[in-house]
Amino acid sequence: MQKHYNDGDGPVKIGLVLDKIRHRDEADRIYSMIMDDYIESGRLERNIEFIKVYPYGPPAGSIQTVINAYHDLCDQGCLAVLGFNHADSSIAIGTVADERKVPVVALGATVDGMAEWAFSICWSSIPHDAYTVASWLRRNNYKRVVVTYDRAAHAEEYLIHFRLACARAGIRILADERFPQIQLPELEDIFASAVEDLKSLRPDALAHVGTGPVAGRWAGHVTRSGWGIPRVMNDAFFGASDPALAPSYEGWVGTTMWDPDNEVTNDLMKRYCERYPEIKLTSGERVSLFRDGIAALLEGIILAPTLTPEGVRQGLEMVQLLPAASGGPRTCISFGPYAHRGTQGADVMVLRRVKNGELIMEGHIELF
Amino acid sequence: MKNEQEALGDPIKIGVLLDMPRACSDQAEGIYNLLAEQYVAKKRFERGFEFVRADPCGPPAGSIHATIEAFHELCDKDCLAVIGCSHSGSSIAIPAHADARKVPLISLGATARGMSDWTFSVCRSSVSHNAYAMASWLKQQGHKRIAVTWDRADDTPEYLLHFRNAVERAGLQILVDVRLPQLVGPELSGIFEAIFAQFWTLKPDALAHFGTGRIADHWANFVNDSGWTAPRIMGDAASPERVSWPEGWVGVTTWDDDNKVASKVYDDYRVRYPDAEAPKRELIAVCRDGLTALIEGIIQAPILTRDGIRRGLELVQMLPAASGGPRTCLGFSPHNHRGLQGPDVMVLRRMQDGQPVMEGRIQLF
Repeated sequence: MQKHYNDGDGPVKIGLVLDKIRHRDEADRIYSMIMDDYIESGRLERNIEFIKVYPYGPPAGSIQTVINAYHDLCDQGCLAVLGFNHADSSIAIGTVADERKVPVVALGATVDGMAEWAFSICWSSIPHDAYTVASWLRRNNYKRVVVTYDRAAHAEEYLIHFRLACARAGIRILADERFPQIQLPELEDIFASAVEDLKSLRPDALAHVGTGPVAGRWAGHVTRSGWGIPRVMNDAFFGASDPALAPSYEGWVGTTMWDPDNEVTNDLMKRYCERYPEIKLTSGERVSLFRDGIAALLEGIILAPTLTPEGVRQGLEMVQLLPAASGGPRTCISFGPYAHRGTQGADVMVLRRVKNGELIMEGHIELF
Repeated sequence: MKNEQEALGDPIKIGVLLDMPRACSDQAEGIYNLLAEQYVAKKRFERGFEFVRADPCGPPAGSIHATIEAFHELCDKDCLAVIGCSHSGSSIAIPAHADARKVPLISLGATARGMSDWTFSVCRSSVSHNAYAMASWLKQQGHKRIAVTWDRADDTPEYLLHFRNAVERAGLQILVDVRLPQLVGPELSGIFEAIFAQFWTLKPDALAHFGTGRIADHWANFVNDSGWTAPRIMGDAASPERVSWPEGWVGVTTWDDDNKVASKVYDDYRVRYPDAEAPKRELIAVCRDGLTALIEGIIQAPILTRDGIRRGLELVQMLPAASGGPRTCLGFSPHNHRGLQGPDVMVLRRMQDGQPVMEGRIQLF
C-alpha cells in the first residue's frame, strides 16, 4: 500500500563504519543506547535507522576497504556516516567525503583528516597526546629522552607534535627508533636490539608514541627486560585497561581519555552496565568515544536546517559546548565552519599508570 | 652594504591591523612590542620582528572596506602575516581577501564565521561561548522565560542563532526578541521606550542582551534607569569600544581571576609601561594570545614564507591562553582554525559597586 503524504516518520539513515573487529559490538551497543536516550528525550522528531558495514581496515586490513564501505553507505542513502576508528582511515576519508558530499564524523586520533565534509571526534588526540606526554616528562624533570614509534602514517604525526612539544618544554630527544606497524615474527629481536642501543645513550626516560598492538608488545618487552627506565606512552596504552594485558604495562605511564572525575563518563558507564549486565567494562575510554561521536552527530541532525547531507553538515557546524564523556570533566564538543575538531579542552587526554596491576590516575597536563 | 655571512638576519615583517578606537590601538601596539621583546630575550626566534602598522577606520562607524584596503596595503608592504581586525564584521569579510592574497591572517573578531584556508581565529570574545555561557547562567538561576535584545551589527544574528540553540537545549523559552539600531541616534530613547512597553506586558523572568558596541551601554543604562528589576545579562560585556558596564548587569567576558597567564602579562605590561594607563584585561588577553599564536607559528614554520607560516600555524598546539579560564588553550590544525579552545573561553562577571566581580563559569549542559 502506498504511504500517505503525511503519514509515518521516515527515518534518517545514518551509516556506521564499524572497522575495528574487537570493538564493533561495543560501538554498536553504545550507538543504540544513545539513540534510545535521544528518542526518549523527545528532541529527535524522527527515528534513526543505522545502516552498518564491517570493513576489514587497518592496521592489518586495507584503507581502501574502508573507503569502499563509505561509498556503499552513501549509495544506500545515508545522510551522514560515523566511524573510521583507525587514524590512517580518518586521514584518507576526508578527500573522499568532499567528493561525495556526505558528512563524515571520523573517530581517528589524527588532526590531518578534517575537511569541508569531514568532522573529527577523536579516539585519542595526537597533539593532546604529544603535549601531555611532554608535560609529564617536564614535570618529572626528565630532560634527555629517547623515543620509539611505529610505521603507521599517523605515528609520524605523533612524532612531529612530540618534537615540537619537547622543543617548547626544553626536553632533548637523544634518538628515535621506528618499529614495524604489524606483529612480524622478528619483532622481539627488533625490540631487543632497540633496548640495547637506546640504553647505551643513558636517557632519563623512554617515550613511546605507538598506534596499535605492537605498542603492547613493546611495553611488555621493556618491562620484562628489566630496564628500569621511567617510561611513558601515548594512547597506544589502551591495552593497559585489559586485565589480561595489564602486566605488560607494569611501571608504564600512559595517556587515556578516561578520567574518573568526568560525571558524563561515570553516568554513561553506569547506565551501560545496567543495560548490558553480561558485559564487564574495564575502561571508560571507548564507550566515551562512541558516545561522543554519536551524540555529536545526533545534535547535528537536530540542528540541521534541512534533512539532507548538506543540511546535516550545516547542523554539525552549529554543535557547540556539548559536555564530552571523553577526557577530563571540562572537556566539551564544538564544531564551526573551518573548525571541525570536535573534542576540545586541555584535558582531552589524561595520564594513568599501571601500578601493581592496577590502572590508576597519574594526573593532568600542566600547560606550558 | 650588508654582509650576508655576518648579518643577523632581517626581522620578520608582521602587519598589524589596528581597527579599534585610537587609544585601544596604541595600547595593543604596546602589548605587541612587549611580547616581541620577550620572545627575542628568550632567544626562541633569532631574527626578531618588525611590526608594520595600519589604522583603518573600520566598523561600527567606519566601513569594512577601509579595513580590507588596509589589509591589502600590508600585503603590498611584504608582510609575511597579518594580525588584527577586531570587529566581527571585518573578520567575516576579510578571509576571502586573505585567501586571494595567500597571506595568513590572525583575525581577532568574536565571530566563528570568519575562518578560511588562510585565516585563523583568536577571538577577543566568542559568539558561541557567549551564547552558551548566558544560557547556562539563566538555567542555573532558574530563569526560564527570557526576553532578548540585540543590535543590527553583522555578527549579532550569529549570537541569536547560537543562543536559540542553547536555549532549546537548556529547556528555556524566548518570549520575544527585539533588534536595536547599531548606531547611537536621536530616536534611540523612543525606540527603547516602545520595547520596554512590551516587556512590562510579557513579564519575562530575565533579559538577555547581545550587543556589539556603545549602543549596549545606552540600552543597559536605560534599563537600569527604568526601575525594572528583572535580572539582566549581556554578552561581550567588556569589548574595547565599551565605555562602561552598568551596575547590576551580569556580563560575559574573557577575564578570569584565576588565569595566571593573564595576570603575568598584565603585570609585565605595568612594569614595561609604568606611566601608561593599563589596558583592559580583555584587550591584554586577546593581543597576547593572538600575537603569541602567530609567533609560535612563525617559529614552527618549515620555511619563512607566507605558506610556511600558514603551515607553522597549523602546528601550534596546547598553548596556555591568557583569555578565559585557567585551562583555556590555543591550538590550530588543518581545517581547524579556531584557536581558543575549552569551555571557559568566556566567563561570567557581575558589575557590583563599580567592580566587575567573578560570577562563575559555564555549567555545561
